[in-house]
Amino acid sequence: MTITRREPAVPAERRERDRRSGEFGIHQILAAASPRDAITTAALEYRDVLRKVGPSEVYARHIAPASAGEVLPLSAYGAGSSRGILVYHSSIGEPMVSAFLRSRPEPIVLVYHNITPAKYFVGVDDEFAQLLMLGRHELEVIRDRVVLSIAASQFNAAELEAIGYEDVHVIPPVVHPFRLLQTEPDAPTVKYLDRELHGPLLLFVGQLLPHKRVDLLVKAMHVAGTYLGLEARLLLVGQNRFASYADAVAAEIRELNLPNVHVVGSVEDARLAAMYRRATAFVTMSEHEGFCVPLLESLAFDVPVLAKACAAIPETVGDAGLLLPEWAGAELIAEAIDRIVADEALRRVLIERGRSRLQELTQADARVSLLQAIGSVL
Amino acid sequence: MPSDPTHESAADRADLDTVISELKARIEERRVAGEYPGDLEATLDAHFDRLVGVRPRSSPALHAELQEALQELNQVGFSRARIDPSSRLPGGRLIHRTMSRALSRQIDGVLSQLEQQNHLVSHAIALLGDIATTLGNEFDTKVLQQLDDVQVRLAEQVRDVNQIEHQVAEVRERVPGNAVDAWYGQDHFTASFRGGSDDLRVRYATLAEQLVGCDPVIDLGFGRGEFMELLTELGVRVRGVESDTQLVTSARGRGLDVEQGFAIEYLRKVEPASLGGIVMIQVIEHLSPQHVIDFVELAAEKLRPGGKVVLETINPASLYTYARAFWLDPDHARPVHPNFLEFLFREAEFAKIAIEFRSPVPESERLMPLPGDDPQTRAINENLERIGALLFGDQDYAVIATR
Repeated sequence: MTITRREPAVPAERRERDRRSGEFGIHQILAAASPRDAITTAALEYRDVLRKVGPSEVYARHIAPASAGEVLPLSAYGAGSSRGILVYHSSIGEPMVSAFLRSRPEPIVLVYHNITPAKYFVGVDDEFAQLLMLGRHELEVIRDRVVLSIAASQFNAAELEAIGYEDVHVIPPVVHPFRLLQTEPDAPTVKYLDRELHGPLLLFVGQLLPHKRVDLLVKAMHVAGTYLGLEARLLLVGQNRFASYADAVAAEIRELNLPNVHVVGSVEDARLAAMYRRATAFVTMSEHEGFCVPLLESLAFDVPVLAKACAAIPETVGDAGLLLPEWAGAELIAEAIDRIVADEALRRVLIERGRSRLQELTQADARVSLLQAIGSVL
Repeated sequence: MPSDPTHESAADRADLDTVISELKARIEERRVAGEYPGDLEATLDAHFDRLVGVRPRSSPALHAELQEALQELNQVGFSRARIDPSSRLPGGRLIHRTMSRALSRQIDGVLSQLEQQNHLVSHAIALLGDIATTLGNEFDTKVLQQLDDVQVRLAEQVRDVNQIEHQVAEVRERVPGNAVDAWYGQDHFTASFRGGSDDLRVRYATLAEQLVGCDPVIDLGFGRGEFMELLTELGVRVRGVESDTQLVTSARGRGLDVEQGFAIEYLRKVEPASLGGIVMIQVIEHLSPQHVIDFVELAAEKLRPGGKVVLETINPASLYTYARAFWLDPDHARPVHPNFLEFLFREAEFAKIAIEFRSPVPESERLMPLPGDDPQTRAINENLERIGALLFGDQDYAVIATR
């Protein structure tokens, strides 16, 4: 019986933003934000640190409903002030974000998470391939406005330097490999894995995308099962974003008659924790990674890693993984899977190295490094 | 193998390169032993490519193929020796050879012309290839340039829109009677100035009874939900709409059927002739004049015959209300005159319209008549009554309009 307004009032965050628009702020810009996305998570962690210095918000063009409270729409970025710094997280091209960056006078800090080469998506999703190309083009366009460039890995830094960026800082992302280890594993999943899935268990965690080469992993499982007599199961855990590729992988599994390869899809943390706990080895044949967080999660769970020595994977995992050459095909991968499953001594060595690798990686606090780097250009 | 895995000796630190070499050697062994089909990987790749659909080859691959084809074309040897002299006829081979010798000048002439033409053709194809590449590059550059131009224009427009939006927001906040966005809770505001829930329940009991048998009812701007509770107790099915998040959450917590939204917007979406009652208690004075007019029209459309609008608002015919209730709430837009509302409902062809004046000003706050009965005192008292009627009319009025 009180107030029914004629129309939606000015949102509270708008007023707050306007109130602050005269202040110097360090705001972050993303193309898309969703709750479990690595870039969104990193941006929110940076924001919490940046807020100790002054106003700091995270803005994105596309926001998943579950992130709507934390991340503000790009359209809500005030036109009022031009004081401050924009921290732009680059991982894909997005025309509205490009336009936004060009419409702003503030200096830009670029955080480069890597843009997957478009070639992997040509024919699978041409539109997406174009956005990836646009992303790389955008990096060249904004280069002169960038006062500080930060790459998540040496590999990413080299890519930036190749298009004319200088003095690229390498700051590995904020990682919490132990967060998942501390998650109570989902009891029904633990029970299922223990009782129903006997024998060695291989785990792949990552989106089902062409450059992750899940198809190659499936081929290797075929070779290992048919010619090496390997009896192991492979769980493919991760979001399916491109039906054309994921469908082909599913058909490949079906047509090669591999009932021991399971496409699990995206799972919540408790189920993932249960899978890591039970896994004999983590396998990925990804050919392009800007950093690759699941590798570190595996190390945290004492799960040995088998991967290709591609992109940023060697520098992420260090000597703690069995790394195959980039050209490795289904046969070599099958042999390697067979070996890592059979050779307990090898697994133990890898696990041991994994522990020290994790220590190295978690010593430095990325948030502090970022603040210092930004401080150097203020 | 050490028994304690945390103490790994240097000897156990297997050289991973050695492991990889062993794996490679193992593959060779299997191939030699015939365990692997020779084209296993290629077959698997072809199988997956078929599944994922034909992918267009990248232009570098096509370019390489063109170069190869041109090279082959250039290497075609034109020679009489390559003309097969064999024949199925007896002595045919001899005849061919003799003819070849006899026509050697002509054949060589034709071959050399062909060779010249071949050079020209392959040169032309190479040129075409170059043109295609240049065109491609130019096209890429042009497209990117155009894309840049579009983005620059888009950026300018985004900037303009941002500025306009900012100015509009500033203007909105300065215009009196515009919706306010309060940081305080609406429940606190209501509790401070409208009395406790129990008072309101007593006050609205008779109005609620008007809606018995009028299911379904919607309560637009239900506030703390007292009217909804009264209706529920009377067995009337009622749904509430309210814009304030806190009020909606609180009502939902008490088991009321509510949703968040704006009165007019909600009403627009309701099916025609589907409602038995529309309640709007102390809400219409928050609406703009346009929305007041729209509301009555919408109510006429959405109510079924016999359905009722029950609304209450501040009575602008009592000047007392301007010193009290009306200007107390910063969200009030403008008062709505009872005669105007009555006119609207009549124009909208409601069958029955009743206006009920409510909440009389307490006796203690009204003007007191002078004692005495002489003509002068009577005249003063009559004037006081006239002033009193204008100043201290009832504070609210209700409209009960039947469709």
